[in-house]
Amino acid sequence: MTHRSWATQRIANRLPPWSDARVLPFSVVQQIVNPMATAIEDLYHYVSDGNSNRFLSSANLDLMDVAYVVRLPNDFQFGMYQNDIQTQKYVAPTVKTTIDGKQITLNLTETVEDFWYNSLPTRAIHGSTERRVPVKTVLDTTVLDDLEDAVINEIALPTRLVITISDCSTFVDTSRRTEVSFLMLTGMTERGIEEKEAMMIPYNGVFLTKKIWKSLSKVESYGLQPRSTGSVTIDCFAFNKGREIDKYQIYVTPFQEKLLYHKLGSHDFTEGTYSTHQQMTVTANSLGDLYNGNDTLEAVREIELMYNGENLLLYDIAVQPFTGRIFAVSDDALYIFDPYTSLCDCTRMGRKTPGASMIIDVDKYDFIRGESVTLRPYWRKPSKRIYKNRWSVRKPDGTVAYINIDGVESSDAVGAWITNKTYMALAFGPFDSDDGEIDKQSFNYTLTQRGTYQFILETHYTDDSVEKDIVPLQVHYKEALAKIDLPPSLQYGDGIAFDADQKLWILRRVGEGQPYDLPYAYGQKYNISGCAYEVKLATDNMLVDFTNKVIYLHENYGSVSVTESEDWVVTR
Amino acid sequence: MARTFTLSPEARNIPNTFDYFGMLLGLPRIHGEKNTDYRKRLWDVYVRRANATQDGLINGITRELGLKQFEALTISYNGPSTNSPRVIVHDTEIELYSNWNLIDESISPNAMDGDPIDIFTETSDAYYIGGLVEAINSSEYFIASIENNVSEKALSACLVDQDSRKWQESEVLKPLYRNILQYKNIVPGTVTFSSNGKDVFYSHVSSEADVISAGKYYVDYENGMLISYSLPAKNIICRYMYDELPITLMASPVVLHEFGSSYFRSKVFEQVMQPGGTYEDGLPLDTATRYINELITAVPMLWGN
Repeated sequence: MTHRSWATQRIANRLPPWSDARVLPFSVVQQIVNPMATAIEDLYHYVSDGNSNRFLSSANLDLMDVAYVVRLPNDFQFGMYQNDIQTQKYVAPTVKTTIDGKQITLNLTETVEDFWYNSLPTRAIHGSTERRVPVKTVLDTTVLDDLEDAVINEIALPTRLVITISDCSTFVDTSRRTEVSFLMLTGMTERGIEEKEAMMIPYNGVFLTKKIWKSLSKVESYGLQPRSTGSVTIDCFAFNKGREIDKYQIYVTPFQEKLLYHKLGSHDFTEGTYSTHQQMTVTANSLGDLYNGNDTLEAVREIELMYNGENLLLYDIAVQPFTGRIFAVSDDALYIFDPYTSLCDCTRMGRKTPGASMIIDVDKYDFIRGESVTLRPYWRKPSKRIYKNRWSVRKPDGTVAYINIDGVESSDAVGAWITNKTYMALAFGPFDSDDGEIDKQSFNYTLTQRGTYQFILETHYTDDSVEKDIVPLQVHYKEALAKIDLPPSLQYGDGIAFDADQKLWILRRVGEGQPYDLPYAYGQKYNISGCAYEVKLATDNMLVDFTNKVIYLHENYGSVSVTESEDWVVTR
Repeated sequence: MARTFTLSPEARNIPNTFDYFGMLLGLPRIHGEKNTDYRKRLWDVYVRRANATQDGLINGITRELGLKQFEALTISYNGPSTNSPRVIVHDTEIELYSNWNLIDESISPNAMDGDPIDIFTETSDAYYIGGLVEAINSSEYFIASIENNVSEKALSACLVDQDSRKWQESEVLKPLYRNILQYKNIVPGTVTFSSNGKDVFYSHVSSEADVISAGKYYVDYENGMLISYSLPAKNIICRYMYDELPITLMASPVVLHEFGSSYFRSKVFEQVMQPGGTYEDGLPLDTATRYINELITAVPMLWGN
C-alpha cells in the first residue's frame, strides 16, 4: 500500500498560503503530487544512504555482502511456463531445507532488491553463536555538577552509547564560538585507541554517539545549564528509551517543518488498552524556544497497531537503521511495521463541488478509533442565499448514514435536511438550530471504525443549485508487515534495540535474585539488572539464475534439497 | 518425473562499498566474510600498522589471516612507591624489574624481581597463560590477572613484545601556568623540551613554590604535570618517558620470532660452551628442527646457506 509522503506537503508548501491545495491534505493537487513526492522521498533515501556509505564508520552493514550459492547439475531441468500469447519463462525449482527438525520451503524472489533489501526476515534465532551480555548503565543518572567524580562502569560490548540528557533548560554555550552546548567523551574506542568525541546537545533528549566505544574514562559537559539539576545518563542499549528519531521523514504542516519521532503508545479502546504507534514532534515553534528547554513532545498522529485484524500489546519499539522499519516486541513475537502514514481513501471525492461556497470545517484530519470529531459548516463565499443543508457520512465499511442537527445518525434522507427558515430575510442565516446562526450548527461525531470516514455537506441554495463538500478523515491503523515468532530463549522480553553493528537485541529481565545464564566472568563482574540477547534475523529467500543453473540463497544452510520444476501451461 | 537433488551451498562474496574501502587500504575481503567483521579488520589497518618491523609483521599477518590481537593479561605493581618498576616482554621471556634506574646503574643497580620467566619452552611452567599468571603472582611485587574470555591454555608465546616504559615522542605544550601532560608516572630525568629544534627550558627547580621567575619550571613526575612561570618560546614540544603500570599485555595468535635474536636462538639451538665461558649455537633442538623443516617445505632453500 502506498503511503502519504512528507514530501507531498513540502511541495504543496510552494503554493500560496491561501490555496486549498496547500492547506488540505486530501486536495486534488496533493493527491496528484503524492506519487511523485514518494519518488522524491526514495531519492532522498538513496542520497542519504549513499552519503552514509562514503564513510567506513557510517556505511550500511546490511549491504549485500555474502550470498550462498547452490550449483545445479548440468542436466537439471526447469519446467516452462507458457500461456496462450506464446510468452515463455522458466518455472523455478522448489528448494527446501530442514531447520531444527522442521522442513521449510524457501521463498522465491524475482529481483536482487527483493532478494536482499525489500524482503522481510522470516525467523528470529538466538543460537550458540549469538551473544548474551549483562545490561548495566555505563553512567547512572548524574547531575552535571557531579560529573567529574562520577563512577563510570564498564561497557558490556563495544557499541554506540546512548546518552540521555534531562532537566536542562539552557543549551547555548556563549563562551565558545559554536555557541552550542556539548558533551565531551573520552575513552577507548573499538579501534583500541584513546579518542575523544564532542557531542552537540541542542535539547533534552536521547542521543547516540558517532564513535563506537569500548570504555569511557571521562565525561564532561560544556554549556549545559543548570548544572545543579541537569543530568546525564549513559547506556549501552536504547532499551525503553521512549522515542526514536526518524532519520528519513520529517513532520511537515502547511506552514512548518519539524523533526519526527516514533514512540510506542497505548490507547484505551472499548475492548481494552492496546499498543499504538505515536508519531511525535516537539511543541516548540522555534530553535530559540527549543534551546531554552522547551522540548516537550506531542503526538501529532496516533496509529492503532494490528496484526491480522487483532490489536496488539507490545513492550518496546526500535527503528531499524537504513530501512526505517519499526520493530516491535510482544511476549512471544516480533512485529515489523512500516514507519509511514497511510494515504486516505479518496474514492468518490470527485463528487465534491469545486469551489463550493459552504464547506466543512474540522479541527483536525488525523484520528484514532474512538475519538470524536467536531464538524461545523463554514460559509466562505456568502454570495447566494442558503435554502437548506444536509450532513451525511460514508463510513470505512461503506455504509452511508445521514446526521441530524444533534450529530445523531438517521436513515431519513428527507428529514435530515436542515431548513434555513429565514433565508428570505438574512443572507447569513440564521438556521433552524439553537438560536441558530451558522456558527451554532456544530456537532461532535464519534469515529468508531478504522479507515477513512467521508463527511458530506450538501447545501441547497434558493436558486435551486446544490453544492456538495466532502472531507475525508482518517482513523489511523496499521497492519504489521510481518510477524516473527520468538524462540523460548527470546520470549517475554522487556525491550528491543539495534546496536552499532545493526544487530537486534532483546532485553529480558527476570525476578530479583534469579540467576542469569551468563558467562562466568560477567556474573562475577556485574551487578546486573537484566540481560540483552542478540537476535539473528534470518531471511529464507532464494534467487534463481536460470541461464547459469545457479541458485542464490540469503542464508547459509548446511544442505538444501532442490526439486526440478514441471511445465506449467495456462490457457485462457 | 521431477528429480530431487541434495546440494551444499557455498559462500560467494558480493562486492559492496566495504570492498571499495578494502581496495583503498590494500585489504581484500576474506572468502565468506560478512560486512561487520570486514569493517573491524578495515579499522584495524589504521590502528595496528603493518610494516617490515617485527610488530608490523605481526599486525599485518594477524589481520590478513582474519585473526585478532587480544588483551591477554594485566600486570600491576604492588611494591614500594619509591621504586621505579618495569615490565619487559621480549622474544622468549618476561622480565620483571622492581626498580629500574635510568640515570646511573652504578649508584642504584636495576633490581630484577626473580629470574626472567621463560614463556617459550614447552616444559616451562609459564608456557601457558595460566602458568604465566601463577609465575608472576609468585614474584615479590607483581600481580597478574587473566583477562575475560582468555583461556588459561592460551600460549604465553603469543604475547607481543611490550615494555611498560614508553616514550611520549612529541606533546605540544599549551601557554598555561599548569600544563597537564597526557601521561602520569613520568620517569625523572627523561623530560626534554624543544622549540624549532632547539632545547629550551634549562632551569628545573625542585618544587612548585620555587617557580617564581621566567625560565624556571617544575615537573610533578607522579601526576604528569608541568608548572612553568612562562613558556620561553612558542610551539614547544615536550618529550618524556613514562611508566604504564598496570600494563595490559596484548597477544596475537601469530607468533613471530627471528633467528637473529640471541634470546630465541638460545631456546632452539644447543648451547655449546666456548673457551672463555661464552656460548655459541650448536645443532638445532626439536623445536628448531620442526621450524626449519616447515620453512624448507615452503621456500626452496638449503639451511645454512
